[in-house]
This record gives sequence, C-alpha cells and structure tokens, in this order.
Amino acid sequence: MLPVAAGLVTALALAWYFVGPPWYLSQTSTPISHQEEVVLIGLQAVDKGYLPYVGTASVQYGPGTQVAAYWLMHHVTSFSVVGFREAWALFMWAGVSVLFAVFFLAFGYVRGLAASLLSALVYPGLHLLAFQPGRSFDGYFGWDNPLRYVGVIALVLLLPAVVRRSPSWRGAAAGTAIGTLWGLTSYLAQENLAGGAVGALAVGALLLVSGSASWRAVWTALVAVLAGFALIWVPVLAFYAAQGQLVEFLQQYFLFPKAVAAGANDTPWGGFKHTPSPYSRLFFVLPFLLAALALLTVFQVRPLRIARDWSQERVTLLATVLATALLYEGVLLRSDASHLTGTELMVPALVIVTATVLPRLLGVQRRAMVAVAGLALIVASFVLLPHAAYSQAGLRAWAEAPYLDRQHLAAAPPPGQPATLAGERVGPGLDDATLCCQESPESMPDFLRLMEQIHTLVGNRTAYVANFHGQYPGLVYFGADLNPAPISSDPYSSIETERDLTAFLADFRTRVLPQTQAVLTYDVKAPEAQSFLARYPGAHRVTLHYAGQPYYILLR
Amino acid sequence: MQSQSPLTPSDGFSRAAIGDHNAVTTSGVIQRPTRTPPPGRSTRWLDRALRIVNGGPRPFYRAAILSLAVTSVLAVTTAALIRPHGQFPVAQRNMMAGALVTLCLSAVLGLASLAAGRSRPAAWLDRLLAPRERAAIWLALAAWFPFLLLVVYYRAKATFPPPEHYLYFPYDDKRWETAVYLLGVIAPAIWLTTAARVLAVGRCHPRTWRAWCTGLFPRIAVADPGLRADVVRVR
Repeated sequence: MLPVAAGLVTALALAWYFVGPPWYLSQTSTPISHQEEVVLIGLQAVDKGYLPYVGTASVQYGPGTQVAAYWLMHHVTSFSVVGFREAWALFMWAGVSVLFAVFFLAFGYVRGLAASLLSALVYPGLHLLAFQPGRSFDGYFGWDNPLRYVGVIALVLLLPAVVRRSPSWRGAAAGTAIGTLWGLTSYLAQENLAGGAVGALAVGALLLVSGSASWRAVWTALVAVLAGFALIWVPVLAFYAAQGQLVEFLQQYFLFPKAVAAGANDTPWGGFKHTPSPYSRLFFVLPFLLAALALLTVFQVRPLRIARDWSQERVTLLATVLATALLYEGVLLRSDASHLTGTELMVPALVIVTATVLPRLLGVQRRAMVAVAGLALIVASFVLLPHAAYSQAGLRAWAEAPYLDRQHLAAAPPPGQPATLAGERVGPGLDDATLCCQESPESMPDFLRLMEQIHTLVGNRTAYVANFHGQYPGLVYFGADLNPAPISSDPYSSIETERDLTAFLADFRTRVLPQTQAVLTYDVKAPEAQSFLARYPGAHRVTLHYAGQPYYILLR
Repeated sequence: MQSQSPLTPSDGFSRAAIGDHNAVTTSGVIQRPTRTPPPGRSTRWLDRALRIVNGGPRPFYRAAILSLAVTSVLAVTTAALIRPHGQFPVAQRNMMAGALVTLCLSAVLGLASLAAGRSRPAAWLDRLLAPRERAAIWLALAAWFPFLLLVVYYRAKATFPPPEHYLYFPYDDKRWETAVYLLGVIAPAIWLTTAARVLAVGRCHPRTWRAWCTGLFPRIAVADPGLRADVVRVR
C-alpha cells in the first residue's frame, strides 16, 4: 500500500511541477488561435441558454470538454479568452496527473518515475502546452490535452490488474473506477471511446486465450468497467433524451470520428505538402517496432514456444504495446507531428517497460546482463528522436522551465482590469496584446474597438455571424457578446460536406431567418446575407471597418 | 497473472483434485460425467478434427497454404471487381500481380508439401520449434490470411473519388492503411495465442464441439494447458 501511495503522491507532485498552477496566463500574450475561435461560439451559445453540444453550441470535439470548460469559466476562472486558457490549463494539469498516476500504478514506482520523467523532459507529447523555456505557459490552447488520450491509456494499462483481482469486491471496485474514468474521458473526447473499447476487448481476449485468467475474472472485470462507464453516460444520454435531442447529440458525437475514419481530414505524413518533421523517424519506424514487440511478447524462449499462463510482467508489456498501438492508429489517419501527441504520451512508457521486461522474456537471466540490455534498449530508443530532444541543454531547459518561468512571471506586475466589455471578454493582460489573432496583423486594441462597436449596434438582437476577416465567427460572437441565432450547427466546425451545407442553408432560410435580427459579414453576397436582405428588404446596413476592409452589419 | 490456485472458492468452483481426470480438463473446463454420445455426423467430424490436431503441423501447414491460395484468388477477384469506371488503376493492377505471384508461390509450396509426403522434417527444426508450436503458427496463419482481403478491398475502394465534396478538409481514404496496421500489429498476437489455445484444448480430446469451444474460455486460470495436456486425458 505504501509504494502505491508514494507513487501517487510523486505522480501528482510531478504533474503539478510541470504543468500545474500558478500559470500567470494573463501574461501570455499569444494571439487568439483558430483552435480557440472554433470553440468560442459553443461557449457563447451555452452562455446564452442554448443546450450544450448540439445546434448552435455544436463543436467537433468532445461534449464534456465544452461543458467542463464552460463550468470552469463561470465558477473558477473567468468568462474570457484568458479564463478559457486557464480552464484549458486545468485540463492539461488533470490529464498529466492521471497519466503519471497510471504510469506509477501500472508499472510500479521506479518505472513509473522513469516513464513520467521521460514524458515530461524528452518526448514532445507534453511540450505542446507547457511552461516554455524562457517564456511562459503557452502552446496549443483549445486542442492539446492529454485527457483526449488518457482514458485509453488508463483502461488498457490497468485492466489486467482489475482482472487479476476479479471476481472480488476489490476487483469490482477497481473495474468500476477505471470504467468511470474511461466513461468520463470518452465524454470529454471521442478518441477515448473506440480506443478504450478495442483495447479492453483485446486485453480481455488475450488474457483469456492465453490461459492467464478465467473467463469469469475477465467477464466480471469487463462488466465492472462497463458499469463505471454507464455511471457517466446514462445520465448524459438521459439528459439529452429528456430534451428530445438524443439523436442530435449522438450524431454530433460521432460526426468527426466517422468522417475521419472514412477519409475526411486524413493526410499523408506531413500533410499533402509533406512538411518535414523531426519526428518522421518515430512515425515511420514505430509501427514495425510495435509489430515486433507484440510478436516477441507472445513467444517465450528456452524452449521457443507460444507463451501460456503469462506472467504479470509479460501482461504489462503486452498492455503497454497495445495501448501504444491503439494511440498510434489515430496518427495513421491525420498524419502530422501534432497528431502524434497521443502516441508520444505512451512511447516513454513503452521504452521503459520494454527495457525492463523484454530482456528477461528473451531469456537473459543474469542481473547485470538484464541491466545492460535494458540500458541499451533505452539508449537505442533515442535514435527515433531528434538530437535536440535528448541533448543535455534540452533536458535542462525543460526541467528548469516550470520553476524559472514561474519565478520571472511572478515578478512582473499584474495587468490592470480591462475597461470595456470586449476587453473583459478577452481578459486582463491579453487586451493590449500586439497581435489580436492567429495569422492577423491587427492589434488586439483595434480588434476590441470593433467588438465594442458591434456590441453597441447589435445589442441583444439575435445575430448570425456569416464570416469574419481571416478568423472564425466564434471570435465575433464571443468578443462582442452576441446572442447567436438558433442555427442547426456551426457551419465552420460541424458541417463538412457540400450536401450538409446545402441543408444548413435551407434550414437557415426557412427556420432560422424568422428568428434572426442581425447578420454580420464582410461580403453582402454571402448566401446568408442575401437571404436576410431578400426576406427583410428594409434592413439597415451599417458599414464598419477592420483590417482596412469593410465589415457589414445588417439589422432589422 | 497466476496469483492464485487454479481452483479457488472465489472462482465459484469447489476444489477438485488435479488427478480427477473426469472432473477437470486441462483447459479448466469442469467436465461432468456424461454418457458417450451416439456416433453421428458431428461426432465423426469431431473425431476427424481431433485426429488432425494430433497429426502434427503438416495438416496445418497445408491449411495455411490452401488459405493463402484461396485468399490470392479472392484478392484477384476483389481487385478486378472493385474499381472505378475506365482504365484499371495502378493499385488494382499491382494487387492483382501480387496476388497472382502469391498464388503461384502457394501452388509451389503445396506441391512441395505433397511431394514430401510423410517424410519427417529435420530434427533441428523440431529442436528449434516444437511441432505443436509450428502447428499453432500455421493455424494462426491460415486464419490470418483471409483477413488480408480487407486490405485489398479498402485499397481498391481508395481508388474511387471521394463520395462527398468536403468543404474545408482534404480527403485521403486510409482505411486500407489502418487495416494493414491492425492486421500487422495487433492481430498476430491474438491469432497466435488463440491458435495455440485451440490446439491445446483439442489435444485434451474434448467430447463435443461445445466442450472444445467452452474450453477456449477457461473457468479457471490454468498453469499451462499445453503441458498438462500431456498428462491429463479426459477421453
């Protein structure tokens, strides 16, 4: 019990050090990213009373992430872009805490510590949103979040321990706990659902057919996991069923996973332009390594034969290979360095577990030889990484960054409170940033001036933002605190095909327009603007200016 | 994984003596005393299957060769039938060429096997990998080959233009890559382990097909069905 408690304390301490508060996000003046803009419309819609995740509040990511972000922004941080970033930092902290805790629980103290440190310092999976060396806590807000993958990792790595304890009350309790975690993370992000289901079934099947566990143990463990999963999902589904929106909810939830599996959004490695990446070697070599490791795991030597009655170590290695393999499948579809993040969360664990288990499985018996072989495997794994990832300077920079960044950020004077509503929507510190938004040369004060004008003109009217210069409309809804029109879904994040767009526009003309009092666009020839002007010929047209170009507000 | 006695009250079974051959099979199946079933078609097939299981790796090698040949023929058919209108895409042509080469290879291997007849393989091979392990590998391969048709099917489908016009995103049908990946990384471990278990249970001479099937899912975690199969016979 003591090693487990020590492991959990260490995991939480490490997670807090590397990604925990204080983040001083009001001093992060990174422009608002497209990824943040995409989720802002949903948050604004929920704030104005729409049902989360469906209709106007639809978003392509997980429903739980939207609800949790909204709740955190209202009760813990603030309803602003900075508040959203703080909520996202909390997700990051929670995800890393769970990840490290799972490593310690599944692999024991020493291996858990090694895998956690390797994750935090060497592999880039946790660097996409982190204390950046010499800067601040910054990165891919609105997208990068270990909670998107940690459900698969927890379920696959911890299920063997649950099976080992089943059938018993301890097994049932542990199964329900990891099932609840899996259910919660599947609610937060769709990636966890399919990966977890396939992983759990594969682990159960392998334990069963290898004779390592009885069907009763496997069955009761899986039922306990399913019960935990249902604890989260039954209330969610019942809520949407009660609102008469269950079908819409499920369609939205599976919209992107189905489309991506069928080919939409998929790219070759590095995109169609084959952008070079320092992690190309990892991407191309890893599947072959995984295949070899999976095969080696099911064989035993002296005599060479297919292993039966698997030892705990063999099961741990197989579960680790399986979890890594399932996470890699995601990057096989949308193949770029960002989408390799999920795999990179598991590769450190794979390296450590392989180094400590494989030599013995291959018949190495002398302790010294086992240690040498393990060390050699760890060193060899660095071949997959660019040199900068494991150079002394790089390791030191990532190790020191959380401490040094907090030190210099704490020494800076706190920013003043914004004076305007639009400024409040962006948040203190960010309201006077040099650049407003990703890929935009405009300053934040210029952008906020426009948002103030829009808010004053539109007021509480039900508004539809057809488009905005270089950015997603979510930014305007949120920045100007508009009351979004009751559209069937967000055309920029939840409509993928021309057929869907045609249906959206038909619904817009017949159902949404009668309830719409303002349309905002930079192009009055946009279909929605044309429909608005055709229906309301007497509508006022107000012309504002942004980025040296007109921006129209059509009012009735 | 073996952290407790194979038969513990927590498993829901009463403890049975290991030597009680009629009560516990090596696969963990509790065998209740049953009358000998009347000989019928099912029993004859079962007897035949059990003889094959005991016949060593050769029948499974031939089954694997046959499976490869059938898979090759079906792959050629799939690639020929599933294609967009017009000229044969390169991918289909490559798949058909590859499948034909594989078909020829399987024919050569099959003929070589028939020519070898019942001659014993070299002793070093038995020392390297026991016959029952080779049987399991061949059985796993025989079951694995037909799944390659999924790859052929999805690769052929990938040559079609996108079914929809996507507004913002690129389109690249990579289902065949996913199929290759899953069949190459995850499936072999499952197939091999399952094949070994199927044969291990078969070597215990289950009385019925059902007993064979239920034997795959042990009611108790067993120490080593393969080894205990040598000493426990329930027939």
